[in-house]
Amino acid sequence: MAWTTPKTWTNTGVSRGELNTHLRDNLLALKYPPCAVYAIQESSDYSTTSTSFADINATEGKFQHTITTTGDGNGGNGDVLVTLNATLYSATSIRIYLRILMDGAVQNADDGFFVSEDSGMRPASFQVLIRNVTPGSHIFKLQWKVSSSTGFLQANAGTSGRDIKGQFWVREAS
Amino acid sequence: MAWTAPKTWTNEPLVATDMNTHIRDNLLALKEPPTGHYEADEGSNRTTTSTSFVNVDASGPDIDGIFRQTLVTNGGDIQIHFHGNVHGSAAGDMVFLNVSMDGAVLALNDGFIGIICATGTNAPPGNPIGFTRLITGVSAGSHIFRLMWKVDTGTTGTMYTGAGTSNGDFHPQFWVREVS
Amino acid sequence: MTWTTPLTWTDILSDASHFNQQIRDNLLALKAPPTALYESNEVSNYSISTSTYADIDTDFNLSITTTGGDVVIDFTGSIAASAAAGGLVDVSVDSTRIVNNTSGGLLFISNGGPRVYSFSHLIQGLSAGSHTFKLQWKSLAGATLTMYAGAGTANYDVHPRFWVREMT
Repeated sequence: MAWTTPKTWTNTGVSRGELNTHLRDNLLALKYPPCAVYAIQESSDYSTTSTSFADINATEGKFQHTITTTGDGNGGNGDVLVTLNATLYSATSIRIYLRILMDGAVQNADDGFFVSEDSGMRPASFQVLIRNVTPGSHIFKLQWKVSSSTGFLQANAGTSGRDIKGQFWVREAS
Repeated sequence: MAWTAPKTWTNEPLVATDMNTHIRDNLLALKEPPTGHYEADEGSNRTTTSTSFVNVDASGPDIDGIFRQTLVTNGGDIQIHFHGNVHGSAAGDMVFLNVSMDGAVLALNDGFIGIICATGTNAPPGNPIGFTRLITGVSAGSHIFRLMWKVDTGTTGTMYTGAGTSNGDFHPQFWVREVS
Repeated sequence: MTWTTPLTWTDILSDASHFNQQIRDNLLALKAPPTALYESNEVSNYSISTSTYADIDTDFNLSITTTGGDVVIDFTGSIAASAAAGGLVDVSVDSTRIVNNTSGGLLFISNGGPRVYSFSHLIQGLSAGSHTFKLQWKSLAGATLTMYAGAGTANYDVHPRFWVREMT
C-alpha cells in the first residue's frame, strides 16, 4: 500500500477521501511495508573461488531484491533492513567475505561487511540496517569473495550434513 | 491490541466507535505487536544427543514462554530470532538449529543454520550461533513456535543457558514477533 | 516524531489539533522510530587483553530517546582471539550489562578467526526516555581480542556495525 505523508489537519470538514488516504492507507502501509524474501533452496550449493567481490546470484528474488521504499514518512529518507541467515562452508581454513550493494553502490567498503576465517561449517547471520534511503525503487544485492580455494553457501541442496535452508530478505524498516 | 483492517470511509458522520477501532486500536496494534520473548537464565545448560530435530525444551521444562512461544497474531509476517552459544563433545562436532510452527518444521533436512564446533574450543564456553528468520503470510490466530536442534552422530550438544558455567555463563535469547 | 498514547474518542466534534496529534504525529512516530547506528571505519582496529569488561570504543556508545516499549540491539562484526581462552562481548544498558555477571556475556569469542559474531537482542518494556547502550568486551586469561574496524588491515578491512532501534 502506498504511503502518503500524513496531512496537517485544519478546522475544516473531514472528507472520506482524506480519511482513506491518510488513515486507512497509511495504517496499511505501516502494517505491510515493502519486503522481499528469498528462501535459499537450490539444486546445488552456491560456491565461489573468486578472490574479488562477485554477485552470489543476481537473479531478482534470489540474492538480489528490488523494493520500492517510502522514506521516513515525512518527505525524508528512511531505513531498510537487510537480513541474512545462512551457513558457510570451506574444506580448509579460508576467509569468506560478504558485502551488500544498494543500487550498485557498495554499502560496506574495502573487504566488506565481515570476514569469517575458518574451516568447516559456520553460521553467517546478520541484520544490516541501511539508513538514509531515498524514497523510490532500490536494488539490494549480496556479494562475496574468498581468500583462496573454494567457499560454499549452503542452499538446501541435499548435501549430506549441510542440507541447510537459509534466508535472505530485505524490508523497509521505516 | 487487536488489529482491524482499516475501513474504507464513506460520507458518513464520524462516530466514536469507528475512531476508536480504526485509529486508537490500530495505532496501538502497530505500536505493540504480538511478541514472545525468552532470555534463558536456568539452573543447568541444555543438552542433546538427538540426530533428528527435537525441541530444545525436550531437555528441560516444556513450558510456554521459554523455548516455546505462543503468539496470537493478526495475520501477516512473523520474525523469529535466536542467538546463543553451543558446543559439541569434540572438535568437528556439528550442531544444527531449526524452528517449528504449529508442529511443522520450517526448514527440512538440516534446518536453518549449522556450525562445526571449532577445534580446541569444544570445552566451555562454546561457539556463538544465531539466526533471524522472516515467516511471511502467517494466518491470523494462535501459533506455537518452538526452537529445535540436533547434532551429528556421536555428539553431545550443549547450549549454554545462563547456568553459571565459568566463562560460559551465556544467556541465549529466543524471540518471536509479528512484524506486519 | 513524538508518540502520543492514542486517544479514546467520544461522540463529540474533534478538532484539528486532535487529528494532528493522534493521526498525523502518531503515524509519523510509527514510521520513523528512534534509531542510532555506528559503522566502524577507523585508522586502527580495536583490541583488548584485559579481563575486566570495558567499552570497545566511545563510538559504540549509542543513545536514543524512546517512547516506551521494545528496543532491538544489533551487532555484527569480525573478531579474532589469540588464545584458547578467548573473550566475551556484552552490552550495557544505562550502565547495567545485559548479562550482569562476571563469567558470561552475549557472545563468546573463540580462539582463532576472525569469525563473524552477530546478535539481535530484544529488550522488552524499556521505559520512555533517554537510554544509553554501550558495546563492551573483555579478554579471558590474557588472550588478545581484535575486532577489525575498517582500518585498512590487509585481508581484514571489514566494517563492524552496532545499532539500536525502538521497535514499538
